[in-house]
Amino acid sequence: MLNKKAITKMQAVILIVIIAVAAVAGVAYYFMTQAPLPPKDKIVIGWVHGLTGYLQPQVETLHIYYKWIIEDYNATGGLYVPEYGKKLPLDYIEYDDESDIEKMLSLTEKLITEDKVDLLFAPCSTAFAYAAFPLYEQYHYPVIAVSFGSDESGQKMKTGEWQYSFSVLGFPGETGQEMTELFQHINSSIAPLNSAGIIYHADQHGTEYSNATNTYLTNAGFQVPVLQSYPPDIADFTPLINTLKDANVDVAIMFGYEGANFIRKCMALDYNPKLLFIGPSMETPFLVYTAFQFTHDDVKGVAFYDGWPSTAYTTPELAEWAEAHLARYGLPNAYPYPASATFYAALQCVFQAVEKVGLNREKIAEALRTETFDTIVGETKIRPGYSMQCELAGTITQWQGRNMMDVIWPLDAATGDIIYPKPEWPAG
Amino acid sequence: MIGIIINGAILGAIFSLIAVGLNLQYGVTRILNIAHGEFLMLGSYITYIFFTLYGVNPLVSLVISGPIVFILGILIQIVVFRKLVHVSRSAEELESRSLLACFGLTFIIQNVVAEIFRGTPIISAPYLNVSTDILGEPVPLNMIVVAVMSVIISLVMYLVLRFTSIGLAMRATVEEPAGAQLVGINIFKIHAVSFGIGALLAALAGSMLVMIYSNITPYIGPQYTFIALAVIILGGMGSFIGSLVGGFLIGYVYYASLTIDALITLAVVYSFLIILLIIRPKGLFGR
Repeated sequence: MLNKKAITKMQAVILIVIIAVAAVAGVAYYFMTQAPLPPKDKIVIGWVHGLTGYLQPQVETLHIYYKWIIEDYNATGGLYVPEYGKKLPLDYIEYDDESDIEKMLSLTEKLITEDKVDLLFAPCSTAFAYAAFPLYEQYHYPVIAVSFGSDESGQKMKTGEWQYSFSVLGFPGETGQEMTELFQHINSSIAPLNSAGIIYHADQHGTEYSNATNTYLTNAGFQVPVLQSYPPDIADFTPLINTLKDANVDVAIMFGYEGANFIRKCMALDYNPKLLFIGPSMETPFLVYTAFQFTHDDVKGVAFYDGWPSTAYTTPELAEWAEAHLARYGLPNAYPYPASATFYAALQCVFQAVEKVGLNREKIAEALRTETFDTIVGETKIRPGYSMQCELAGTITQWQGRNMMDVIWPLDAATGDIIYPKPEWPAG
Repeated sequence: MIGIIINGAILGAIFSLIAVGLNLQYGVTRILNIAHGEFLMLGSYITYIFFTLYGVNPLVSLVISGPIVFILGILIQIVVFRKLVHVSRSAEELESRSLLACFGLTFIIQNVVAEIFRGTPIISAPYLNVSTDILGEPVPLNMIVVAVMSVIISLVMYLVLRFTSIGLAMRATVEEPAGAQLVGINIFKIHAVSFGIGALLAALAGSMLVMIYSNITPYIGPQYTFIALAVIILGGMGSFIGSLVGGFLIGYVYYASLTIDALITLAVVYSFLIILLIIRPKGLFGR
């Protein structure tokens, strides 16, 4: 019970007045110190990639989701921005770097300083994204690179040296570890697998993935008698195939973009290792079945080392997405590749971060580092310095006679049994 | 060793065919057509279209792609280069202007093809991709066929130059342009036909390469232009025999270094080229 002597009525009135004045002053101060929001009728996203030049094929297959996700959001009225309390339509500025890294850098800077875009999407390929990351750090633009994988940059993301740069695919170290675990499983549970030969395109991608895989395999006791790079525009794979043949390795691994040429030459020379890992490029159904004109039987048993995350499109939602993908692309066999859904999901993460924290780029970066997002591949988390963590994804895929690749590793995410050894090449 | 002899010869035959056209164009017109690889690429795409849409055998498509690109080459020579010949005051001025025009042609052809085939960024028309045996060495049948066809086409080209009136006119234009005009040779016509034949030879090479390689894109041209340039510089600018010999030499050096260490291939090829140029600055058959 209140002690009547503790406070007089007058004192109570004065106290209430003081509290009321302080509250009003506080609210007034808050609004006076907040800059008014600039009028905004749309959100502009910018990106630079090779619409022409040698990277055009990768851009046309890997970066189609940039426009698709913008179309998808605009179809629902745009992207919700909390500080404006409404959805704003999405617009974009797309520049062609002509597959020239210097041009990509200057155009990216133009997007930031002159066009003043709200958000950025990444350029195409490991080397280009790697070159662009320092710009994102300098100007504090959070960006998720989709077509990218480099342990060196992953280390900078892990240590916090890079705070605005994120990645989707498996880093070389993760990929090496996954492949090693798969080989150990095959060796212990299916059939002997003791050795691997690695050939790689002499660029950053090939060098990092081959070195990491070689390290993991040799540390696990596998023989790696062949570790050989090859130059861009190589005219003939015969000598490299002969080297692999002479070494009699169980698994041939190729980290490079020339997979179709390599397979054709393997077929012509009747070189058929027990397992063939090839990529990037041999995981894309449109390229494999339409551009390269392989049949299902030609590539049956050929595996892809995406690392995390690869999707098999076997859930009803993802199967539906895959069919819509085919219709939207509008060309034969243009089904998604293993990482398609996760590329799209990564862009969803960026937009969902905006929906949660607004257009403040510091907050977006923080949200990407810490939040979990609900995307087409289920619960998704961006992990700085690691591949994207997705609910509905595996790590290693294999062609098994279907329109899209099956996940074969890890076993709890597998949609098909591991084919080992791979079948003979089809006759003639 | 047998592998190097066989596969080096196969690559050499292909390299020779690619170089012969460029050398002919330069020898007759003094235009260094650095868009040569783009005509090769056009041949690949024409073959791809007929192979994919109508199931035409890539070897049969040679009679389609060749004439199409031949006519295109003539048109380009008439529209672009003839005018440059008229307005240039010296051979040096013509060479520098035509070089710039060829750069432009490279980008135009690349971008037009890329635009037409947007959505289909890489093409191939695999054919005869089976193994055959030569002296115990397994070799893809399509590479043998392409090499043999390359040699046949180069020989036909040699016979045309050696024994036909148009060939004689071309050789006369190479040797003495002013004298050729004095004896009634229409050198403008010869320029156009030579440029067209050079484009035709590139297209034939492209039509056959798309049988072997599955990485043909609108941007594949420059890598073949560089090969052709290396071959004709080695063999001697303007020398037909030089192109043939140079092609085979580069083919052998390329394949041998590929066998030793793939990564050093281009370094070895160009080191070889530099050494030979130091010894013979005008190339093996240059004058």
